[in-house]
Amino acid sequence: MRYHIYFFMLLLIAVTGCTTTKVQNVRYEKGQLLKHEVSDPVYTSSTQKLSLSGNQLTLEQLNNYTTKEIRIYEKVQSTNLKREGTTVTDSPFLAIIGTPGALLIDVFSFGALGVTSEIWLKDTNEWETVKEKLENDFIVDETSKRSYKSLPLAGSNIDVFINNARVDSVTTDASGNASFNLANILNRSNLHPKQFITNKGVNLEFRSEQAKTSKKVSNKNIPESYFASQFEKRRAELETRKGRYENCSFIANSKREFFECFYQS
Amino acid sequence: MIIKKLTAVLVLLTLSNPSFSQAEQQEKKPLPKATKSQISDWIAQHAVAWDEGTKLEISGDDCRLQINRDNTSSIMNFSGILFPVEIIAKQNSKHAYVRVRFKDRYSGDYGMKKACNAQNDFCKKNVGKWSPISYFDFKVTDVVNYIGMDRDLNHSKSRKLARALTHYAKLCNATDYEFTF
Repeated sequence: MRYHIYFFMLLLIAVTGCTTTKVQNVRYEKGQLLKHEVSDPVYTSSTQKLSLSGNQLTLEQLNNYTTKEIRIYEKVQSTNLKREGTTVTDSPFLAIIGTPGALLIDVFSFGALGVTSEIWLKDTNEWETVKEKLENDFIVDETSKRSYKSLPLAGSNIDVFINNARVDSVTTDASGNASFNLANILNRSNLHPKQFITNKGVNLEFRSEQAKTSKKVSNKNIPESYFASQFEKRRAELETRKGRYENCSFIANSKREFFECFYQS
Repeated sequence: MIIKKLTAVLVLLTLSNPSFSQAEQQEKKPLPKATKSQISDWIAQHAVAWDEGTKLEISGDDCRLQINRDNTSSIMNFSGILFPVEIIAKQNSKHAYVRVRFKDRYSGDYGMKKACNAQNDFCKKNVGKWSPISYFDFKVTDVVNYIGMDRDLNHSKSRKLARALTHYAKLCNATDYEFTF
């Protein structure tokens, strides 16, 4: 019996103590999920993308969208309050101070603010205001996801650069594609093939009005047909070094190997 | 008298026999000089045979010889030989070396070599960097006292090889200077 009285008194002290003590830093935890909204994708911006695969270029417009996802939770006072100074206590009995979900339904359906979730999601300023007010009573968890739709860009001009010098241009077809022939481009560039043997390959770059892409082509990936046509074109120049010309012709199994032999010393 | 005359006629007929006199003439005619392809075959065979300690593979065509060893591959162009072809000895070596020098020694125009290793499958694959060489030494194995020893059979090998190389180079239009000083 006596224990019961002690227990009751302790309880009373605890309860009254808690109600009278000022809590300096109240924290809240998410309670029950009251509302979950996902907006329609909202257009944000568009960019152009030029991509390269093999000898094929693809130019497309990417329309970017953002989808907002909002979860509104009951605001529940945390049971893990941190002590601040000496005045703070916590009590398991009074820790949970929930806000009824019914209030929230008012906000959404008839709400004084009179907006639907879709509108807030589209209008950032509006949403920010609503969010601020909601956060007084609820925990608002907002995430956004990005997505895009791509559209091919037909009839666009793409300039081709070799080692930063423009040598050619191609035009995209109805599906946004354009193909190129590396050997032809290299032949047009008027660069000496010895550069590709002694240097570190070719820097190939494609630029459209709003996008660009580039690729490093190593010596091994330069087509044999390029070396073959350069061999014919520069034959007189090569033959001035008769001995080496003959030796390299003998050693090489291809015109690439010929140039490798001829310019490596 | 008639018998004497007949004998004389017979003797004359025998002497003027065309087949007999042609055979005699042929015996006096020297052997023909080797052609380019003959001499390159000869060089390939003999250089491989006389370099006993090393595995050599010689291939060639029209004034070029490519010589693959285990760790190097060399190519030389006989049109660019600088005469004379020398026979030299190396310190602490009992072999003779037939040294072929090239014109424009730093250009790599007439002689080149590259290292053979695992990367190029010991020269089976044509990968790797060629660099200029100024001379190439054919080794003639194990020559004892070859200097000045005309009677030495071993020495005659290196001389023979040197002569063959010289002949080949001349057929390939390697020119010596036409003046004296």
